[in-house]
Amino acid sequence: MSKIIGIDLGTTNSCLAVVEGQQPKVIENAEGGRTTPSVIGYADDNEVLVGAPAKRQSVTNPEKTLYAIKRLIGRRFDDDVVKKDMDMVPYEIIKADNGDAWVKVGDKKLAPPQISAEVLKKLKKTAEDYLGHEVTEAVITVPAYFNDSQRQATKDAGKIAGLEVKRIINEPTAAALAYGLDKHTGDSVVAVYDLGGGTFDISIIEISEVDGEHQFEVLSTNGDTFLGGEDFDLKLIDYFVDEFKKESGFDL
Amino acid sequence: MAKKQKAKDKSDLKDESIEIETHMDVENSTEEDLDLSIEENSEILDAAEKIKDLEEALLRSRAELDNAFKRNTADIEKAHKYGVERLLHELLPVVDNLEHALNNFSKDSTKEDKEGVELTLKSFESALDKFGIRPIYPINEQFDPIKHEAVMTSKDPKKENNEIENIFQRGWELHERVVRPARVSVIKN
Repeated sequence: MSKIIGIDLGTTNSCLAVVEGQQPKVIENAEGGRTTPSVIGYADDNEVLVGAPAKRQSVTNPEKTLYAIKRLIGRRFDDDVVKKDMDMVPYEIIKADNGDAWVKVGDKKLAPPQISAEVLKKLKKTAEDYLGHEVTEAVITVPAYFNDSQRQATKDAGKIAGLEVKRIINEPTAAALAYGLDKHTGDSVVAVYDLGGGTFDISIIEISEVDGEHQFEVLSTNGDTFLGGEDFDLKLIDYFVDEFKKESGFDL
Repeated sequence: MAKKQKAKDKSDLKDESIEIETHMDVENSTEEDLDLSIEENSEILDAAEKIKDLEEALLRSRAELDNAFKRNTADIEKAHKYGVERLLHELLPVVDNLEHALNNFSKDSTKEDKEGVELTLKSFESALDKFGIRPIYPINEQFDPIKHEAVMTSKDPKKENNEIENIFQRGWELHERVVRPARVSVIKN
């Protein structure tokens, strides 16, 4: 019987887990990492690099190294987030015939689900290497604020990668489950913060117990899709470069 | 299979006893006999179904156990092979510092000073080598993002695209896993 894998398809990094016994277990990728950078590099020889290797070649190939695709998935080209993203990324974001935001790599036009599928394919392969059998089903988490079109696009990405997406789960709900909040008895309201590599979210979740079963409802969610741990890194780098320049006169 | 056979035997026995009964009460026997056998037949079918389900479940859990064993063995093997990775992360800066020391001796330092540090670095490296830890120093090689990290690009018409121009920091691999990529500059004309 084939296992269903759990995937956190993040803006900056992605993560894969399977349930073993009763416990979720994060699976290491081939490079030994527990997370895989959500970065996809299209090399000149049509080779597709995913994860750390894609990140390592990004300065040599910035227009064909795609990251933060999650900000585009399931969005219209005219969306404010897409407009803002266009000023920040070195790759070309274009308007597809249906009005969606797509990416142009060389002379190829790619839909965000097609690009995200590359990350999912790598995670699928990682799971198969670990489990020793083919994997065809997955559960993927998405931000609570994702609308139907973004959820559908995420499902499409799974399909392209050869995964039937059995369920799309809200990230804060998954976080609450992982911390065992479903084991509490009675009703409760909790706040879930999620400081990721590229985004920062907060959600208020209501967990209610109905006939011994727990139901999760996201009461409210907000955040900043352009603030994450990587921005902290950049600020620190800028600070040190400035300090170094002041002290030594060298501009790094 | 054996269970199934047993169930059948039992029903045969019952049939016999019913037959004996029928001799005693010939009048309404046939109808009752028919009813009973239908009921028993469906019971046997139910039991057979259940056996099939249980056998399948047993097979599945055996396969699951088998897989768990295999994964366990692989996990232990991996733990042995890559167990030193964390320690290695802490040791690499020491190796880096020895290298820096070698490249930045003051004018006052003697030949012996330099030799001392050289030998220390060498013995350090051979100790690492015993654990399958090897440096990545891609001189005159093509850039390979699996083992190298491009920190900048530079132009040089005399060299070909994607060639490594300069190595800023050596990389390290533990068995076939890259623990730290070599940090390099790559030609892009």
